[in-house]
Amino acid sequence: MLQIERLGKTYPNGTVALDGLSLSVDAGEIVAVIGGSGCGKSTLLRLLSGLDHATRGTVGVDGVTITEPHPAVGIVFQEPRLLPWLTVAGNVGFGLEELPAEERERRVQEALARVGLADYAGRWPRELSGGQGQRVAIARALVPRPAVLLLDEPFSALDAFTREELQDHLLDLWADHRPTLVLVTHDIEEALVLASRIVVMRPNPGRIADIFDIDLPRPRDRLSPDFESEKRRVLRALNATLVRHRPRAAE
Amino acid sequence: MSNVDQVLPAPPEAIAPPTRPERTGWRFSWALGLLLPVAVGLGWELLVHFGLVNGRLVPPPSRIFLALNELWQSGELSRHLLATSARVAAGFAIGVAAGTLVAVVTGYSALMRRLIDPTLQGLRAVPSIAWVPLFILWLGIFEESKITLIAVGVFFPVYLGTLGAILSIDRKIVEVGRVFRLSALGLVRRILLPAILPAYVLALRGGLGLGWMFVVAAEFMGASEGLGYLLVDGQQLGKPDQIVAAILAFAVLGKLSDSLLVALTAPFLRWVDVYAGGR
Repeated sequence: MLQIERLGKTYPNGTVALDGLSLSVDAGEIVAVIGGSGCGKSTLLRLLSGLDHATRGTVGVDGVTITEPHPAVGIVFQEPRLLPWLTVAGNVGFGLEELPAEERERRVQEALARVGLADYAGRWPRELSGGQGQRVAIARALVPRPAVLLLDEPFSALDAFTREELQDHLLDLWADHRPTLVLVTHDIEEALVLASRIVVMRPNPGRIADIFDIDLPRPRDRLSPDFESEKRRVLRALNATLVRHRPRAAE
Repeated sequence: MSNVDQVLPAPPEAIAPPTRPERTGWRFSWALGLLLPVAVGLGWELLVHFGLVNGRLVPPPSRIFLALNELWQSGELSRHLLATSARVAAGFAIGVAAGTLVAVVTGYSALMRRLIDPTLQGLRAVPSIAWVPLFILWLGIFEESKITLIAVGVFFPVYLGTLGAILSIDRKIVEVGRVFRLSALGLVRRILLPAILPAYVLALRGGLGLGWMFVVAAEFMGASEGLGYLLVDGQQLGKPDQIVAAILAFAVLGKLSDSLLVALTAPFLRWVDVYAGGR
């Protein structure tokens, strides 16, 4: 279980990126965090991952307080961030250095097969497409079997087709060990396809504006009327967070 | 660096990117570069041969090869080659060690960088020959002063290249190391070192090039052996063929040592993803 309590982050320049955010995510749940730019959603993810320190409040994973990167929490960034000097297999196995070579090899092969890149083990990252690179990044994050996987706009740099393919693929992977997923996105459809709960955030300072439970049956049909109406519901809430901060034209 | 592409051997066929431009069609296009020097050499040889010029100050190729051969037969050439190579090797080793160490310290700590870097940049502006009298006063006229001068020459490109590489390491890649909770040592070994390696190899090559430059200055300080001695000797005794022979030896040695460095480091750089230049 992921427990976020009154989490706040004020940057040294005085910007309050996040103010008193509380949220509790069940084990195996998929939560999408959505919001306009500057609403603190990326800050939230960096605090959850332990890469940045909170100014106030706490993050707990199964009772352990997260203040720095922890093996129970994996992260996939917006770009693959593969290490160019390691092969695909080397990148996937990067977090398994302590395991004996055979075990590591087996887990890496397994993970690569699972993301459909079994034949790419010996390739260099430069030889991958954007979608393939992001699959390798997901495999790298999942292979140590984290309890919580954070995804920071993981598919935003991909074309629409690849994006939908990877969204479905992510759900398949999630079904294997059912880690808790926290997905930051600015794409409402992506949030609706993946999440069982959508957290809408608002800026200045970053905090929760609305939370929606999404009960659409899975697998979700992006074209169904129910999907459309849920989309409208979330969009309306999202718009409400944005309108208020639009600068007025000079009169 | 005109031959950066030598760092990057072509990847195996199976993984070669599909859109590599074809090489120039003609098989012997590499020989084009030989045309000019061979034609000039041959022309000069013929002019001297037919007595149209006397070739005393500008010896024809045959005389240069004769001089080279003589030096080789008498064992002189290998003695001078060894002496010069040994000096460059020693100076290079010291310069690389010092340059790398200082770059790591200043790259790691902003405070050390502010403390040390301005002084080094100032020293870097000093022309190499300006050190010679000082080094002779301090260290005498034997090997110590020569090797020190070479080490100074090697130090700066290695320092600059390494520091630049350290400072331009991508923060995002370092974060990957943090996510996987690498220790300080693990971060250096698994992220920072491989990240700077391509730039570091270039810095080493630059350093080696300057090492060969500075060994001449060092041997002009008064040496009893070495290619620089052959140069001075050839000038004082009026033997231009010997001077050109020594220059040729420098060219061969410099190119060989650079190729060796490239070959030794190439296996570690197969991953590099760069614009490979107009092949």
